[in-house]
Amino acid sequence: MIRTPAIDWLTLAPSLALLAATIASLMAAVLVPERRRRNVSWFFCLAGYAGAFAAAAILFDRSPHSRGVIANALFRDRYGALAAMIVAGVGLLTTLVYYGERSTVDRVGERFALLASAGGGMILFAQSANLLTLFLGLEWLSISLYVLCALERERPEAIEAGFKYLIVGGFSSAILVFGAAFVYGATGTLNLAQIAGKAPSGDLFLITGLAMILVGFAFKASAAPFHTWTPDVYQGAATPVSGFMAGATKAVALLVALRVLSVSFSAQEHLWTSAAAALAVTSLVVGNLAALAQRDLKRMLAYSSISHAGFLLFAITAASSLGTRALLYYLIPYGAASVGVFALAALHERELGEPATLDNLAGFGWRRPLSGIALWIFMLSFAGFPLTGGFVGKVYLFAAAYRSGWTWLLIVGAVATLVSLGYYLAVVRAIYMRPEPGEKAAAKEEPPLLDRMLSTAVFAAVIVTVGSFFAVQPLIDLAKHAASQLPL
Amino acid sequence: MIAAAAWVCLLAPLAAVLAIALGGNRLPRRAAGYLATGSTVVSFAAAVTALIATLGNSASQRQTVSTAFGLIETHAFKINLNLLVDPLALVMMLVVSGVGSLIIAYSIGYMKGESEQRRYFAYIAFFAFSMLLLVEAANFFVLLVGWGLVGLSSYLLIGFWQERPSAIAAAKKAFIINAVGDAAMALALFLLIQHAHTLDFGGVFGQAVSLGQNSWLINLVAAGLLVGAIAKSAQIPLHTWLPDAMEGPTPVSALIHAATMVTAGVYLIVRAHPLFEQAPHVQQTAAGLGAATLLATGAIALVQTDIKRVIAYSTMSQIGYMFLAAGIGAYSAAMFHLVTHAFFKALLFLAAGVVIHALGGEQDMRKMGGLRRRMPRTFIAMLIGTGALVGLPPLAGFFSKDAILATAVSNGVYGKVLFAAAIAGVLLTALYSFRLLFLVFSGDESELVKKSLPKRKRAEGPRWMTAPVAVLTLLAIGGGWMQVSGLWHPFSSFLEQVAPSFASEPSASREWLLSAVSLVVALGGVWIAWTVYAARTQQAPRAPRALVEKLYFDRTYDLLFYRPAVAVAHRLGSWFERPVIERSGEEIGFGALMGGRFAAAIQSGLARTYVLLVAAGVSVIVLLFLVLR
Repeated sequence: MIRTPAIDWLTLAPSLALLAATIASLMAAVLVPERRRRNVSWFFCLAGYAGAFAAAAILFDRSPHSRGVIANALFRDRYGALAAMIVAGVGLLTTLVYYGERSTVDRVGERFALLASAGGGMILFAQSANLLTLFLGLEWLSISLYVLCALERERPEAIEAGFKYLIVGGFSSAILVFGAAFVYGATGTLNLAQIAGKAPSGDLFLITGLAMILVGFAFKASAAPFHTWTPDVYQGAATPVSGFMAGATKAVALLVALRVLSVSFSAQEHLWTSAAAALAVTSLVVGNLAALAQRDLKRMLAYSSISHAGFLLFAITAASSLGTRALLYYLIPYGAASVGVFALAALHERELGEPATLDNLAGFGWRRPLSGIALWIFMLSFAGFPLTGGFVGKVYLFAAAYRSGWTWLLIVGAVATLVSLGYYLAVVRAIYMRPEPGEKAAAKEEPPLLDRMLSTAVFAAVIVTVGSFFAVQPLIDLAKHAASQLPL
Repeated sequence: MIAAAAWVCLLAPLAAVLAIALGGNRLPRRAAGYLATGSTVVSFAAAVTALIATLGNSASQRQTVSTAFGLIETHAFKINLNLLVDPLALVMMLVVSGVGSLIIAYSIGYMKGESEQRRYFAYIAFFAFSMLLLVEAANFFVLLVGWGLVGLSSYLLIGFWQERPSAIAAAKKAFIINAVGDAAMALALFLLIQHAHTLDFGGVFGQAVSLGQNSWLINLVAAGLLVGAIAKSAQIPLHTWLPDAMEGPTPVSALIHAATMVTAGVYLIVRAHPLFEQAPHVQQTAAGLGAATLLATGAIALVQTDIKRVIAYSTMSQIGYMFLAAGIGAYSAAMFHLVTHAFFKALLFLAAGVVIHALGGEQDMRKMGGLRRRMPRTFIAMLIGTGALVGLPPLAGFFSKDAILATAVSNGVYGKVLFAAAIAGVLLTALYSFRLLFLVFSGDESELVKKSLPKRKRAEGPRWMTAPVAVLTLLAIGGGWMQVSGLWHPFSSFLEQVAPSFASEPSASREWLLSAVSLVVALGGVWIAWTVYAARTQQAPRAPRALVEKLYFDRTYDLLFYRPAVAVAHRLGSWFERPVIERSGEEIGFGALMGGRFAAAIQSGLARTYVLLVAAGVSVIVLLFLVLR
């Protein structure tokens, strides 16, 4: 008789909801007649994310104290629950955007199954309390995303993107798991909470393992110099999926990194804060400069997400409760704006039948006034203008870095923000201030595409982006509750 | 109940703004006016409800705070979005929504035919919302938000006729001078946050004493608030924007630049009286500035030829009386004058608006005359408004102004000096206001009147305009009777809980005696105006140059601030900006683009390059960690 550990179902509920949604969507792909397949699979995916969000909210409410559950495989705490809520929220919006994505109909069930599955993996990843579940969650989400990228196989770029993502991603997963092995070797435990203090803080293997684990996270967060896959993958993948990766994958990668570093490697704080600062600076430099040179909207957004990884790394550099709060808060408007902006890119692509570029965006703001305003708002939020959550988030991140004594990092961040205006405002200029090319005038006669799902998602994203500016205090309170459960 | 009424009162005009803004062209022009008027009537009803409910409570329990949600919270202090309903706020709410709804109804008639009525009514309803936010605020932060928003709506409405360069210039001037005040006020609030750790009225005033009587801190805070107050209320030396603000439509002048917004400074001093009482020198400065303003602007009003500018200078002069009263601690006297002034000054502006409307937009009094027979009702309204302004019994101004005079003379030597200024002001008031009345209404009909009003027809405007004027006429007659010295004083006893008088009260007999004195002075002024401008037995003396130049304030500011600033800006432009900034901007941009090309070049598109880069990155980090450990 094997003694099984007690199962805490509530902790598992968010990822289980998505797992169930995955299975149901897959079943629908087989069992439901083709003309209704899209609606049914889509519905299961949406219900899965909604259920995950609700379960995570309940979990948040009922976990005032952090503790390990299921044989210390998972944390039951508000930090993980809030991360799950962010993932589920981003996933919910992505599902809405994904509904109208054009492709051959026969893979529509798989598409939603994989989207739900990736979310389930992310939530498990965010809750993981030992290196094994951590790796399990990471692979669960990664493999789902690899396939999701390559799913539109009639487009060569999609195949290329999925393939590159798989190879480079596989390589960095290997580095992470290798690092985990080193850590296990040095300490004899996989349990995150027990790693600290098991080995001398300068132990050769422990330090090497720490460095390699850090690289694994940096890869998922697309921080330079581990960002190289990002532009190709964001450009090649289906546009809603790119938004999902920008909003959710990056979020969990950074949140889990912060948790692992603070829980297991508090003795090596001086090392990983410096490394995070270096990664932040590299990401800001590479992301911002390369974004300036892009004409393709999705590629530009990919570099913008790299530069955002740099800003978000300020929170890890700060290694403080304020930094954690800032990270949790900023991910909310950032995730919403990411999904929203990729949704608008998808809308434009579907209308034109070709990738969105700064050139063919000319006149977008006049042709579709509301979408234009939404795009404008997202750009301002990315750039950190007031009246958007991006402003408050950036202020908090900068404040956290400043409090922890990283003044020079602030200067780099301020310069990077200045440079970033160059490409964020270029989008605004493109949609309002460029003359529409002549041959497009004919297309203008047709009524613009109306996609209720996509419009709903964009509207919700605008509400979150702007609302998080006005409702700062409630959101910060949420983040505070969650952040207080990390040992920082 | 009270809290709900307060929120309804505040949000009704905002709802109208949103409806007008979102309705756009789908909304008929007239509907915008009805919406704006209706929303302020709803506000007024809500304010009356709140008043009745508050009167039901015992005198010590007449303060209701309603919190919507927390705005900002740090470890040091916390700011909520909360409203306060107490007697002081109620008085202001009633004035703003009551007089406001009358004036907005009037503008339905006044703005008829204007092509951008929707914009006008959206702005003016937004003003009502902002002003209500200001007076209902329960902490200095919300008050400052309202303070800034009334400045914004004032700016928008002064510049309503965007095609007139003079209107744009006036709007800018008003905004910039008010920004000086806003900045001073914000600095005072920062000091309060730093030392009192709260901005709630209750919290701040509770600590007023512990911040130290006459300490540098409390003096700075009070001074900052005072600068904000004098900028908003157009008192010397920050008064120059108000006459120019007459470029806006006349109802705007009546509502914003006479009845409500410009009196916000008085409200602020009365509201923050616990702070000012701890900084006696600042408070005395307020009284002194009020006295100086009432004299200077009263004198300038004597030589103005624009009908609206005369009333504008008169407004500054009357607010000077309120500052004087608030500065010596006679808060209820100041508020009482604020209320009656709102009645009769709105009446004067609206009646002047009827005249201007009938004469096709002409505002120069020298071209008017003899309108008495053509516009008899407007003449009566104007006569009553003028009488109330001068303080003739039994009109409203008589009771409220005399309360201020009597309190001043009972308060030491400084009070006697202030009293002298105030009684001289009474003479000036009588002179300039009856000069206006006689120039416009008496004598023979001028060329302009004959041309604009052909035939012997009466022309007093549509009913939307005459009805509010009639209501305000009644208020200007009866409004003063709510408080009669020595007989009854419900108004000051209502305010007593919030703003107990700090000044020593005059006896009733002394008050009646002073009333007689000021009445004699006022009648003397009327008589002089009569001989010069109506009977024309005396030649008017030539206007002194200093008065025509408005005591050189505009010139001085031009020389002191505008010209040096422009000169420095030009110099910086040619010496620094063009050679250094512009050139380096080009080069930085070029460098960034080059860098971008380089960063993008890493992106070879080959998976093996990517893997190599990851491997290199790992090696570097591992090595660095091992070196640094």
